[in-house]
This record gives sequence, C-alpha cells and structure tokens, in this order.
Amino acid sequence: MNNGIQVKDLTVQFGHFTALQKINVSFGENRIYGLLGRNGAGKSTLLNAVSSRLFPKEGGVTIDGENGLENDRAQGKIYYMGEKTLYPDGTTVKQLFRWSRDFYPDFDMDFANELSQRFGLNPKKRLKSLSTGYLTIAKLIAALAAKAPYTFFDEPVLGLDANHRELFYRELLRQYSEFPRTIVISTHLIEEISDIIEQVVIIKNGTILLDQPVEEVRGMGYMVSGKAAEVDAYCAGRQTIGEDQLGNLKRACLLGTPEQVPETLEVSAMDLQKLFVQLTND
Amino acid sequence: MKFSFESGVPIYLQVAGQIEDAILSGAFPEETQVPSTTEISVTYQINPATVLKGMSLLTEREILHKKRGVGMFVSRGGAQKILQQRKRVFYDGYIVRLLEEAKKLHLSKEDVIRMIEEGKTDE
Amino acid sequence: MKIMKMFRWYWQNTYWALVGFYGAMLGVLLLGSTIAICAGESEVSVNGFSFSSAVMIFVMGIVFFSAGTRFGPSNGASRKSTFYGFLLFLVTLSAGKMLINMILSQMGQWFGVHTQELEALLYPGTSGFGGWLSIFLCQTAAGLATGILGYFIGGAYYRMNKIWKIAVSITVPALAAIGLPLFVVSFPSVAEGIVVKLLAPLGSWVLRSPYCLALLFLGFSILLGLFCWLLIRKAPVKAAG
Repeated sequence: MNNGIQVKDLTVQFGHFTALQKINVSFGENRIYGLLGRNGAGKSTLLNAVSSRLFPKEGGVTIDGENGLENDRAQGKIYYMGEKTLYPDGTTVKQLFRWSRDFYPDFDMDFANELSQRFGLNPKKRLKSLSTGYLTIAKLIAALAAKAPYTFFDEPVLGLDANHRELFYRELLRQYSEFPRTIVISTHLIEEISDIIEQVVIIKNGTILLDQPVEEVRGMGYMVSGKAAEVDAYCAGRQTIGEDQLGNLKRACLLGTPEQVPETLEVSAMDLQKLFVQLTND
Repeated sequence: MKFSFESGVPIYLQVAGQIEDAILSGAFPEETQVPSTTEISVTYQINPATVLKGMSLLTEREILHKKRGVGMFVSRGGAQKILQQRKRVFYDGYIVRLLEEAKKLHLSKEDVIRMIEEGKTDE
Repeated sequence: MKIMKMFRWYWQNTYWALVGFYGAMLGVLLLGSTIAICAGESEVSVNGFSFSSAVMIFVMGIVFFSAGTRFGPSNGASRKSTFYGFLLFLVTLSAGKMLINMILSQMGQWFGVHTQELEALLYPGTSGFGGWLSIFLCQTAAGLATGILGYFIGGAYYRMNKIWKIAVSITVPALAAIGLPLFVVSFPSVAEGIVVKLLAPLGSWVLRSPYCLALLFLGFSILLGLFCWLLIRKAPVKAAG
C-alpha cells in the first residue's frame, strides 16, 4: 500500500522550546514539495522527526500506512540528505556511496559514479577534506542515486555555484521523470525551485502556515504599486498582507484577484518569494 | 523557449504557448515528434506535471497527438488550428480594443486604416 | 531488521584498526623471536595480548556509540538494529581477537617467545582443550565487558549536554582519586566490611574456575548493556561538535 507520509498532531520539544506544535501535514506519492520557512521555523525538525532522527513529544508519522517511528522497513523508504555530516571522520566519498548502497538496495552505483564525474567530484577524497560545495555535491549524489521512494533534501544547493545548481536541478528532474518518487526540498532559494515544485508547505514558528499547490499559491494574490495615497485608497477594505514604501511610491501585496484597479496603479503578479517574505514576516 | 513567472501567466500556459510558437515557426513541423515531457522538464527546470498539463491542453485542442510508446507528435493541420485561434485572440485582444480606443479619440475606421498603412507610431 | 547491515558496517569501520593492531603485534612477536634466535635467549616473553586487545575493544566501544547512532538512524536503521548490530559485532570482535591472540601466542612459542596471559596466571591448573576453552571464554567475556563499558561511557557522553559533560569529567575522577581514599580513611570499618563481606567472597568464588570469572564479566556486560539500551533507545541523531 502506498499512500505517502502522513504527519499527525506532531509536537516536538527541545527542553522548554516547542519546535513543532501539533503539526498535520502529508507528503503524497510521487510529488515534489517545497518546504519553506525562515531560519529556526522548524523545517529541519519536521524532516528529522519524519525520518526518526529525533523523537516527538506527541503525535506520530505513518509511512505508506505503517508507523514510521523506529521502523526499519518504513525508514528504509526515506533517504534524507541533511545539512549535517553524520559519517565518521575519515569517510571517503566512495565509502559514502558503498554504505548508501548497503542500506538502500535500489542505490545506483553507476549513476553515482557518472554524476561524480560530471560534477568533478573525486570519489577517493575524504568528506572532511571537501569544500562546502563539494561536500554538498557528494551528499546530493548519494541522495539522488539512492532512489528511495521518499527523498528529502535539506538545503540541497548550499555552497554550489550556478552551474552546479543547474546541473543538480536537471538531474533531479530527470531522475524524477524516470523513477517517480516523493521529493521534499527545504530551501531558502525559493525562486530557484518555484517551477520545480508542485506543492508549497510553509512553516512558521513551528506550525504549518500554508500547504497548497504552487499554482494556487501564485493565484492567491497580486501586487499593486503607484502613488501612496492611491494605493492606500485601493487597499482600503481589501485584504492586504504587506506593503513597502519608497518615498511617495508604494507597493502593496493583496490577497485575491485584482478588481477595478484604477488605471494609474500598476498591477503585477505576486511571486513566491515576495509572498513568502510577506507571509513569514513577524 | 523562455519562461518567466513575472508575467503572471501560469507556467503550464506558457509551456503550451511556447510549443505553439515552435510549431508556428516551423521548428516542429507537422507529423514530427515534439520533445518529451522529460526533455522539456529537464531543460527548462519545470515540474514534469506542469509540462504535462501544458501538453494536455494542446492534445485536447488536437494540435498534438500521442503515439503509444513513441511520444507526442504535431497533428496534421495543427499549425492551422493554432493560426486560427491566434487570429481570434489577435482580433479580440488587439483589433476590438484598438477600435474602442479609436472611438474615444474620434478616429474613424478610415483614419485608423490610414494610420496603420503609414505605420505611424505616434500622433 | 537491519541488524546484519549494521553489523557489517561496524566491521567495515574496524578493518583498518585491526590491520594496524595486528601489524604491531606481529612486529613485536617478530622482534621477540629475532632476539630469541639471535641471542639464544630462552627467556624472551611478550605479555598482555588479551589486555591490549581489551583496551582496543574498549576504545571501539567508546567510538561506536556516537558513530553508530549517527549513522544507523540516519540511514534508515532503527536504534534497535543499531544496538543489536553493535552487540553482535562486539561478541564476534572479542571472540575473534581472543582466538587470533591464542594462535599468535602459539606461533610465538614455536619461535621461542613466551607469552603469558593474566587469566592463565590466575588459573594455573587449567590444561588441555577444556582449559583452553575456559580461558578463551574468559577472555572473550572480558573483551565483551570492556567493550560494553566503552559503549556505555561513549553513550553517556553522547547523551549529556556540555555542562553535564564538564561536571562528570571533573566529578568522576575526583571521586575516584579523593573520595574513595577519603571514604576508606573516614569509615575504615565500613570499608573493611565491604572488602571482607562482599569482595573477598566474590574473589574466592571467581578464583574457583575460569568459568566463574567469565560469568562475572558476562553478568557485568548484561547489566551495563541494559543501561546502554536505555541510552540509545531515545538517542537523537546529532552531529559532532
């Protein structure tokens, strides 16, 4: 039975700090999710809890209908490329690949080697001796090659240059097309993944702020800009989620669709990044 | 092909539009195969589901058709269909509005035609 | 269960340490036998094979709590698999090392190097296959106990936060170095009671047979193993530093 990952009433606490507060979210089969949130909002904590790296105070996680916590079989379906390096000192790239193959039977060693070559990664090197970018690349390749039904990426392009970022996104999509699976990308570079993801999940202060298809999110709002007084007049009585002003020039973000906008005001589409900033501002 | 979010047009419509452009320009002749969903997805870094949605739109309008196990092909008369539809859009979007605006400026149909022929851009 | 996967992983990470260890051991034996042959010396002896093995196992125990807890659960293995895999690894490592030690010391004998183990000194009466087996079990159990002790210490440090780490690092040695002598001096009768009533009978029971000593180590391992399970059961995955 495959019905994705269901997170139910999940609460995670670190001492007195509540990192996640009764979160309910699901990651459906064969879809690409963007997990967004500001630093410390709880993105990594959510992924850590789903992949059983930490223990929730309350609530649970099911993976394809099975309890996910401390379950060898269920957890074997998740490959989580985290920000931190969790291998012993002295581990080489080659070892990382071999161990990943031992624990993820679908691991494609030929693909891993081919990608290493294309990224210019020397598999003989120790992880510790790699630069930030190449360490990320090594982990990315292992995550892509593992072919786990649920693959999580936490900050997948950390330290990568533009060429490598593009190469990663391409390979991700190629792999996804050829071997569909559920992918969750947690990142700060929203604009880069906005066309890649299908669903957006935004976390704020340990709760889910938004969980919607990208297409819908884009249609959620729009921006109007023009003279401050005119913008204010238009915004009166409408749901404004944010505004910024430069001298007498004002730009407001509104929810809904534009209606009877005065010709002196300019209407533009709201992009994900701007919406995100407006929604997550304190 | 070029995709931009700023334009406010949903990406799947942009995908459909770009494929149409390519068919019109002759880059994708009739009865030939168009790039696969994967190819487009990978090249332009767009979710395959979004690309598929754009392509489905074109299959619904019988501009593209699917050959089982091979891929998507440009239908016979596909370019013609696009041309007809675009002409309609052109008429609704530009001509009608042009005439409405002309009316406001007290320009007769003949004035407008003369202006077009002269290719004047400012008045 | 991914016990065997974890078991293999622990072994893969022990490979080079073992090569180094036995490289050094062979070197010492070779040196000893060279001296024995060249100098015609018959009194060359190399001691403490099982002791140094136990030290190595102890260190592996310390290292593998954090290394295993980071690796296992972040690669889809449960704490249970991570833990049982370690226990299986530890038993095989300990038994394997002790077996190799015995073979090496036998080889040493052929080349004129005498090896003397603590266990053999404790039980001079043992002989034959039964005696060999008892000593072997005894050493294996000792290795197991030191490994578990290392794992427990590694685990305690892994689970403690910085303040606790510092506190324990100061308090425990202080208690051993100052508290214990102070206790003996302050309460000589209590200390004497403990020695006479508890330790002395235990000591004489242990000296009855190598199997007793093996049982003592095994009991200690099981008890500490339970505490180790408590430490790893809910251990979060956290990076070093």
